[in-house]
Amino acid sequence: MTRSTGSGRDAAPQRTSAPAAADGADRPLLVVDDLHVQFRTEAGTAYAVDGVSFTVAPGEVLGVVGESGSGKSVTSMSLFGLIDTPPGKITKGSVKLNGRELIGAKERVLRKVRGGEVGVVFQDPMTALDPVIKVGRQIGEAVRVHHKVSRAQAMQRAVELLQQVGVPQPEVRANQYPHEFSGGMRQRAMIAMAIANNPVLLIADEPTTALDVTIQAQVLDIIRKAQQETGAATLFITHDLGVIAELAERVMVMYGGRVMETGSVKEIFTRPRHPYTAGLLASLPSLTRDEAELTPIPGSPPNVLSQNPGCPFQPRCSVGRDRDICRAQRPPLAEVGPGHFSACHFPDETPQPRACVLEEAAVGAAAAPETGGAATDLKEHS
Amino acid sequence: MSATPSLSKDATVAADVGATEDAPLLEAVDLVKHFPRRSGLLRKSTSVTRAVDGVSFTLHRGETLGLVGESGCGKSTTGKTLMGLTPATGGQVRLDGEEISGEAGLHKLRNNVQIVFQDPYASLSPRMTVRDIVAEPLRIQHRYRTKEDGMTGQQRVEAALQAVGLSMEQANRYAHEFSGGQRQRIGIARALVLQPRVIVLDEPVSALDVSIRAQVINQLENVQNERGLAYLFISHDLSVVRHTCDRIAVMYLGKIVEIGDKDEIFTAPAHPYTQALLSAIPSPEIEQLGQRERIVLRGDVPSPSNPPSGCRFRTRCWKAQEICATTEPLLEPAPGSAAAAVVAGVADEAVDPAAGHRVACHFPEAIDVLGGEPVRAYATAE
Repeated sequence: MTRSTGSGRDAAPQRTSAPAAADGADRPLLVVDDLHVQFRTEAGTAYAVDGVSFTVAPGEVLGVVGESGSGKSVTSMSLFGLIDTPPGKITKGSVKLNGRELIGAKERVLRKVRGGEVGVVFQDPMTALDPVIKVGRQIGEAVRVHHKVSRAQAMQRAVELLQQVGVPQPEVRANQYPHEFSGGMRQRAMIAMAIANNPVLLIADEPTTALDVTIQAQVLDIIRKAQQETGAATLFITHDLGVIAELAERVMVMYGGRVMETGSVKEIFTRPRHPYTAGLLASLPSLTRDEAELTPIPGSPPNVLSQNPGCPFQPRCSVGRDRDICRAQRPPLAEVGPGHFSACHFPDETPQPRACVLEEAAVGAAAAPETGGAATDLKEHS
Repeated sequence: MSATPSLSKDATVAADVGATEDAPLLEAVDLVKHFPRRSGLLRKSTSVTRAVDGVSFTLHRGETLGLVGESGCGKSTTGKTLMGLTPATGGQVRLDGEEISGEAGLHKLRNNVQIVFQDPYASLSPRMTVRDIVAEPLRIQHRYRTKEDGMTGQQRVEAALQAVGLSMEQANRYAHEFSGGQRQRIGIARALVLQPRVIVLDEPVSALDVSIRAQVINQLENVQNERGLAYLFISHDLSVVRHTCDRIAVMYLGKIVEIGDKDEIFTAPAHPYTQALLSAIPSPEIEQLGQRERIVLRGDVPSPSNPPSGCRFRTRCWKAQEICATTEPLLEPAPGSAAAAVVAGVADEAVDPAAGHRVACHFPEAIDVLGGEPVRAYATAE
């Protein structure tokens, strides 16, 4: 544990310096350093977030991608004191918003941050909205918590906000209850509430996952516009790599409570430097290419109840499955290219996306045993 | 809608005369499912939800037909009505050219057509062992105690489990001991054990994580190749459908708006709704799809209890004109398709106009949306 923490710390200064260098004198808006979150469960301690460090620059859209249990949602919830204690507990780490430490801050301070400087959009708007209060009043309340305005003024602001997020007939809609809204409209109301106080940071946790493709396109459009109009930095959490490609500039890939890889969307989606990212991309069916068989990641996601001393992806990894160093030593998040970081001992051996793999296979047989090995392993596992 | 069923009827006759091999295994002819909405003290039927409103298609041996659309389009209800899980309001289901009706028909149907449900958590009984879950269909059909292909019921259960890669040791465990991907395999084994010829797959991988999804898709393809099964693959995920299906039917508000071979649907979609869907799917293939036009449709899907007159898509369509509100477009050969050439009299009548690429639109136009061809939809003009 001591070693892994050390490596997390080593990685942090590198990471913080990277965006600062890219954006000139800009100070990062949000700095998360070595965050650890644990949950006490009947079955034991769950290490949900296990040493996560990242920064968000002002106005930037950072996509956080991971499968269920990767710790992506817990990370975002714990930033501003949204996890229940007990069972959850932030055991270590620091979260700084505009230089101000938030871990250990008083509830009174956190309440001012949430809904004020930080707006949150959740996946399920039906549970986030109060079913017995009219939508306009709920949005107005968000304004009144942070500003001294009259009820009428707050209502007027709510109507403006609904208009801003593209809700037709905002005056009528403000006087309706959440159940009278469709899924897409509810999500717009949530976005209106999140941007009500001109936040500097917007956290969107799977905001379009429950929506249909055409409605998702509408909501992504609204989030993009809201983000541009308010200039808020955005932390966009999703399991959908496609949505990230659509919206984010930079992406952070999480697995087993840790950051596996982070860098520009273009870099990561075309030249991944972590076998897990490569595996995710390879397992997705293509919209443009025919492929005889998909290349799944063998095995199943890690058990967060036991803390892995090495790389959490090692048991499923085509590169590290048989390597002692991957089993025993936690790889630090190290720079592998400009602004591109990978937590892998052997980033250069990352299998490349199928198009590249096929080309290489045609030249030499070097890449072939790797893909073949993964396929056989699936059968053994299943 | 009256012309379509008679067309496909003719097609069946023609196929029967021509070659028995080409005869469809399963046929839906003008399938209708309306759900009455009751209200008031006497539970009088006040309105009708037209979930499925005249859907016709054929399914051949070893073929996979994809049924895609957004929630509420009737794709799942089509699957359930086809299986007799909910009685049809109108239309026919034919197996081997024979209409399914009455108890005997249902018995025959269930022995030949099985279903795998979306939610692997809700669809398996928590009180039964895996072995019992998989044996249950055999017991219900009174086939457990008989020998088939020289195998006892128990042996057939074991063979089905083996076909999806589950071990005998796992057969004595309960469903809650398995992960989502493994549970879905149990669901597939349960569908396989009756040795059906058709399996209806209702969003079989939607509840699974990305890395597990590919494992289950490969498994489904292996089983299909080994047993020559036909699949009706119901999904909202177009990239999964592109990978798994031979033919695709796109549904909107209870009707098929476009049907054709996979390549026709993906490279020459002719219905504006299909084009909008293809333009809106978020994809990580940024190099291949970065240039495509994004169509953000206006508004929500109208209520199926009060669908728009004429073409049901017209309220969201950028091509809509007067005729679209008054006359319902029929499913007719798409422009550029072989069947359209036959209708126009410029080609041999060897091609069956009721089988090829067909579209239900007054102003169809094949546009390669994914290839970057511009659609010039209303959204881009704004």
